[in-house]
Amino acid sequence: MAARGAGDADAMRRWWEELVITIFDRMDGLVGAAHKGRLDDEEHDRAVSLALSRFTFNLIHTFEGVSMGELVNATKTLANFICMDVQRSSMARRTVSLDHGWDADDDGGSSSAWEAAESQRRFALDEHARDMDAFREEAMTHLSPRQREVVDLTFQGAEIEEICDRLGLTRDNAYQLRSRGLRKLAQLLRDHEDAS
Amino acid sequence: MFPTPDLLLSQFIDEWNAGRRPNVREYLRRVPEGAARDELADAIADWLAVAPTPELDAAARAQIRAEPVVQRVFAAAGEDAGLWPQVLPGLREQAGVSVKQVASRLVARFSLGKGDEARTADYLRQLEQGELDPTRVSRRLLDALGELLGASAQTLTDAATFGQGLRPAAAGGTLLRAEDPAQPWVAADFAILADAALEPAPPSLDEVDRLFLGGPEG
Repeated sequence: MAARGAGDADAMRRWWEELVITIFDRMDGLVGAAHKGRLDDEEHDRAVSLALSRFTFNLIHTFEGVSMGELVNATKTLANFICMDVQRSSMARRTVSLDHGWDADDDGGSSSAWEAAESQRRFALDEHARDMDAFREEAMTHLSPRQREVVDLTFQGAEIEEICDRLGLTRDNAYQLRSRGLRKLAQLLRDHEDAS
Repeated sequence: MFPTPDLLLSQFIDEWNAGRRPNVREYLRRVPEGAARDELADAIADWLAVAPTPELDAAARAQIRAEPVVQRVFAAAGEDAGLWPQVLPGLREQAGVSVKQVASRLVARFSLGKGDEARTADYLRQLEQGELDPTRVSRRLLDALGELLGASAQTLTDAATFGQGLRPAAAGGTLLRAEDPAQPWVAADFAILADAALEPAPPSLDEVDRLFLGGPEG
């Protein structure tokens, strides 16, 4: 935000565009999952546009003090919220505050955060990776041993074939262990966010 | 025989991890609408909440940059009107109302005169075409528009201010940082202010103007 404060609009713009590109697939996917395929292409694109505008607003006004882990969670929350806006009647979903996870003070003192825009972006992404690593490490202990092995390999990027080979599982069994393990992790993440 | 949500989730994850950019909506279309699709949507959302960000190569990043929705968002970021020209007509069409009908409902809502309908419609058209700064719209009009169009006032505000948040902050203190003598600039500013002071006062805003031009408190 010092790029903004110092009038370096180009640096700020580049930083923001790179961040949008990095988060786009996740945002697009979360919006799609939130409306469960019920919006047509035009409505979906509008929801993604609105989600990105909300994301940008929150980023600019509250980025300082907000970790990338919170950002991802807030992205999910706002994708749900935006979909409620775009198609209010079709789904029953959580009605959490849009501002959940974005509570940093808008005190106008955030200009230093724009400094060194590119390195900040990388730092933020590294922060997210570290946050998620720490969370996963703790959360994995709550899974069954078999689920843990499957999910661990999944996070390492192993495809289902490789997981079946390495753990001696049938495909159906591996699919199930993966789904259930991830569902449990997501629930733990929600609990973790609620508690903090 | 449709694939199970578990199988599709696994395929989605493998594609995501490999940086192949799987499309959620395409996956959802592979199962019939109903409980199975909802289950898959929830499972994918769960995955996306904890998924590592895949390494995207330059080609993938360029592909994302070229996505129409990304192009539109990037284009809107430099505009005074923000995202309003993109989202307002769509929200209105989705609500199944014409500009004239929105104007008519606003006139009724704010107890304006029947004669104000055309002017209200004209303001609405200007907003949809990006010819009017949406940050000048009053909060009560935002609330009313939100109700009519099925969007929260906050969402409309974000879309309105979207472009402005990405501009450099106002350059307070520019004069203090100037390397050249500032007197000519200051003199020019005074000349402009003096000319403005001699102009007759603009007509005062009526209720319709206040709604569209009066700012948040208008």
